Amino acid sequence: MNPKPIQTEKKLKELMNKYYSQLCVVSVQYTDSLEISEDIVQDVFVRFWEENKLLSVETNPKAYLFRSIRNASIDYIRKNNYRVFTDIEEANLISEEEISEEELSLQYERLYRMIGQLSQQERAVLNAIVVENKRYKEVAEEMNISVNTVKTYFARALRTLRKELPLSILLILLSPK
Amino acid sequence: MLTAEIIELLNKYRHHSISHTEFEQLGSWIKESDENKRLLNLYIKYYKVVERWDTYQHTDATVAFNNVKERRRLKARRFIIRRVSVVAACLLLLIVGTTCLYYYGNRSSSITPYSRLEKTVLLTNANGKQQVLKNGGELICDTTVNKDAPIQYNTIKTQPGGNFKLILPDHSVVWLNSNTTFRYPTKFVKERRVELTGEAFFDVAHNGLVFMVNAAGNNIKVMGTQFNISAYPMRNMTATLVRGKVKVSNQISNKVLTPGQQAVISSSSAAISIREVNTAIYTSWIIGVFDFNDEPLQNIMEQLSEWYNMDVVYEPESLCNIHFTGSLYRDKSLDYSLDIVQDVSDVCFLKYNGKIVVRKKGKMY
Repeated sequence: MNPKPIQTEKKLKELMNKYYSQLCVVSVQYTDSLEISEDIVQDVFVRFWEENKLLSVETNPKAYLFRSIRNASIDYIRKNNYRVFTDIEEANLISEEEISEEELSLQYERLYRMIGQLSQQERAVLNAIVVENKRYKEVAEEMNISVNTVKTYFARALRTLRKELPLSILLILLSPK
Repeated sequence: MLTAEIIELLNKYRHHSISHTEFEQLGSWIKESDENKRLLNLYIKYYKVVERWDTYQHTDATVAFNNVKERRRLKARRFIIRRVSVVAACLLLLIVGTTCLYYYGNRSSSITPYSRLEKTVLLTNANGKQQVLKNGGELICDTTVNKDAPIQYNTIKTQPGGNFKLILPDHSVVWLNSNTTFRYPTKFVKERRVELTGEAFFDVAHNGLVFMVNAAGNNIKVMGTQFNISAYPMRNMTATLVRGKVKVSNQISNKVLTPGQQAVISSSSAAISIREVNTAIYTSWIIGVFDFNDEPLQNIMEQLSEWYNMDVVYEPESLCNIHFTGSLYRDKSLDYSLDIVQDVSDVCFLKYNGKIVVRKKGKMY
């Protein structure tokens, strides 16, 4: 028996309210882009709506959804020929159970605590020089400070970092999204 | 060791813009030492932590559900349109030999003294051949253009008060507003680049190729998203983002917009400034509604004069600065719209010599 359209809409809305963010998190681990992942997840919902799928999978729509999103995301990176080190990438995926607000924010905070020792200026200088590839002079003009101050901030930031954690990690936190 | 070069490769890896050669370079770098491999692993591990938290925080199920609803509706419509046009395509291709085909919806047009019934939309193809399309209609680009054929450019022009909907070869949808010229290639290779003078709303399909709009010397770069661009000559250009992410740039600077933001590019200085707006006000024209919130009368009349092709005179000039909030509907007559404004304000409208004269109520001339 075909479900009524209004039922489908209600059910989909309910499922999206419950799982949408988590599904996007699953997907972003593959695509590394919030926009693309939202597109992928929404596409899957559009498809399910058209095919009236989720209502017929009565037993466990959650598992089915997560599986579909994972497949769609892998499909996407294959189709677009993303070059990835599969073994390293896979080792850094987290499972559905770990995707909760609590867990995600905890991991994030832990990371930020590590760079908490940098002052805001040090971070800004580091970002401008390392990530944006700017010259000392440009940075000095932009921040309205002297070239020597820029050099001092930069040196101090590097010193702090070398003690604590590899530069690579910092670059991620600083680099533009 | 992390060199500047490796850092750049890592950045490219993360954003999936790494080339084959660069990827191999990075591959041999991690084979050099266990330390390098550890660094890469940490790099990947930590940016995943950042993006997961970012994604969790910045996704909104309600917005997404509305999007899904709209996308499903559009898809269902496109499907019907496509079926209709299969037959039309064969006929038209035989007769006109053009690369585009069109379909016109049964949009009802109300008859009013000031709506221009003879409005048309003009399509000019690369050979200069012209085709007249119905105003308010829709055109679906042929996706079967031979891959080896050279890229050709078509131009579509709407008249003052006109509008038109175009579906590009990549299934992106473009709504063209009044008095607008839009130039686009008959197929997209490597990148999707189009040119705009006037106003258009874009619903760009995601296909991995960059989509670029050139408008009045400014570039708007996107992947897949919904946004509105208003770029009329002699006026400030605006780019309003509804969904996704766009980058607005010109020779002076560049800015990235997030949903709900509008970039205003000054027509005199080309400086880009960003403000938060209610996007509905800037995009509702595609469904024939002009929503405005605390807008000066001048802007409202500008929209009306575009729809109905009328000039507006203010007596005195200062009246153009009175602010209004409300909605106007394109399929209603001009008189209907003016009556609404007149009812709730101190101004009245007179028609004189094909112009609308705005005056203060109660003043006799």
